[in-house]
Amino acid sequence: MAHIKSIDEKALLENCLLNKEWAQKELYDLYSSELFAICIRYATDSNEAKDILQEGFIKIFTHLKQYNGSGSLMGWMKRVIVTTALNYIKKHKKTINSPLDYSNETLQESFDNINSYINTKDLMNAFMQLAYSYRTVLGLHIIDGYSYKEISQIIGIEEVACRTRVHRAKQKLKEILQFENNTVAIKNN
Amino acid sequence: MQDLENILTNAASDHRMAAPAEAWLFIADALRKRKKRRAAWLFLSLFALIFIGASSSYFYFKKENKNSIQNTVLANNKNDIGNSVPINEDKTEKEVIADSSFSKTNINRKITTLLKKEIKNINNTVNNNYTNKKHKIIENIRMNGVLEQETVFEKKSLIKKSKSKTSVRIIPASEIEEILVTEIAVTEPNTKINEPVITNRLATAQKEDSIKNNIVKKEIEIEKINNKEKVSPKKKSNWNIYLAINAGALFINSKNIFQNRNESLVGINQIGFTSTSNSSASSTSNLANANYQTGKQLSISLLLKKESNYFKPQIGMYLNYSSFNLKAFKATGAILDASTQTLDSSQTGNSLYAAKSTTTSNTLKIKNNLIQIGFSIGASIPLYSFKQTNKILLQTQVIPTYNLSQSIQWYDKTSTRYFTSKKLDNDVNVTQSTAILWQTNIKNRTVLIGPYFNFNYFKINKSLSDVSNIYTQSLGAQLQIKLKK
Repeated sequence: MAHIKSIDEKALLENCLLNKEWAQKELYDLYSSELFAICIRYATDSNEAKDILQEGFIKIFTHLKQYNGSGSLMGWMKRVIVTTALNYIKKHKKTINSPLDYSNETLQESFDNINSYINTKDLMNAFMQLAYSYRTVLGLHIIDGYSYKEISQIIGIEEVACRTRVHRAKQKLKEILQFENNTVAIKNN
Repeated sequence: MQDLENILTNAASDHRMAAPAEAWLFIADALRKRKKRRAAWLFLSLFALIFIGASSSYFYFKKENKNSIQNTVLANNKNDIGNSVPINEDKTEKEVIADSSFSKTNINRKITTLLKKEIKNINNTVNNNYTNKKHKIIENIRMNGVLEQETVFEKKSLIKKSKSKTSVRIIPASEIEEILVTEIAVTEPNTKINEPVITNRLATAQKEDSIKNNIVKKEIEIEKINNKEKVSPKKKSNWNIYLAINAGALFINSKNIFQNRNESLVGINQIGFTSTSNSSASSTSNLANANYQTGKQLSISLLLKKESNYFKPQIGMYLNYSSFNLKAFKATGAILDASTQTLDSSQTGNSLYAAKSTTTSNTLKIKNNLIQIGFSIGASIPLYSFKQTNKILLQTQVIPTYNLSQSIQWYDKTSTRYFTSKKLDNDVNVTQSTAILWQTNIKNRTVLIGPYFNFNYFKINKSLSDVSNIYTQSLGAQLQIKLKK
């Protein structure tokens, strides 16, 4: 149940703006699973993800009056959570800026050579297996739609390095998927 | 061929993960606290506004009242005063009457003023009478050509004034009689001078004399009072006792509590550690995300201040109560790895407390109630003076303290147990206090009020080898009241 009827959402919003705890709890129950998935993407571990979720929801409830109704409430809440996560990323610049090996890079390579069918669950599992530094840039660029320039400013690296890292992340993701597919094939055989 | 990017985006949007149930508890708690803080600030602002409004109104109307009394008194006494007669070397009569403070000295001065006016009027009348008579006698003599009976009376004043004191010469009765006889003989040649006439005239003169004597006696009394005051003026003590109360917010960086830990996980009486078994594992912590936490501070002190126009030294006794909670993060069954600063779950059987700004399911709240006593040494200097009784002062104090509370406790919500730290170090505890105070006079009592900022330092002995330096800051309002009016 990711989305509720707009009329219910409006009533829920109004009660949340009046700081009614039951309304805030209901909103949390409705959207926390989806938002926690975003937190997991950007956290280094589950505890950090919980911290991001908690801080994010506090920001959502305290700044709820800034939501002016343009766009969906879920979209607005996602942006708040992503912003909270990005602040966390800024604090952990050292972790995500650990040196990576860029030797033998071919920038022309893409995702286009995946032959087997990929289900979303496997894909997300593979995505979560990526190193934090890869996962962050890939998530920001592919999933949340940030430009290379924006990502480079957030993380504090050169734009070129950012592009390279995204490309490398895609490659790694492909390798993981191929490895898992092969493993499944061997098991079936 | 599939577009993996699109699949990834779709996968992410459908991705769900169950959020931890205890996260909501933390969120709800934080939201409730925000509400309380907002209400508290609103109340404080309202109270401050009411206080400022009431104080301003009080002082404004007091000043207006004083001005109207002054104007009324001055208007009533304008004609009588005429040229101001100096009462003492410093103030004129006008100033004395306009002074609305009612000390004993001022009351005496007012009596002196009024009596002297009366004496002056009588003197003027007496003098005028004598002068007029003198003129009449001379005129008579000239008109009547009685040169051999020319008698010129010297003006005899019953009251002589000198610069230093009032002296009195009372004319004896015989002398008065002589004057009377001569006067009658010259001015009323047709009046028979006999005993009844003289007696009558004498009685009149004596009556007049007695009135003057009474006035003189009063004046002598006043003079005695004035001399007494001059001889033995009340010794004003230079030292005064003040009661000072500080109330404010306390700020502590909880990171300090847990910094520089490099000790074995042994025992229970160590801040941040509890162990179920002896472990040789050690860890260091360099905790990011440790926040400033806030608390409350209340202190009361008795100050002995030396009154002077400029530099005012002071000493005092000091009692302080500080209360703050520290949030800590507990990871059960894990240990903080020194190299990666991450939790290493391979180590079991130990619980580790680290200070983090956010909480998880294993949140701890560290309660800390410190009671300290000490003495203060300091001084204040005036920065600005306006009117006689209003000043802005800068006050600074150094306050070495001793911790009455011997340890810091904390409470584990999950295990519902209290843990106790090692003893607080009592070797070095000191507070440096700076305040900017507004000194004024409220109902004849000196009062000082203003903001203060304290910088506090004390130590905690976490283990035999490790001592933690704790720095706190506090900011609030100070109220000082002089105990003697």
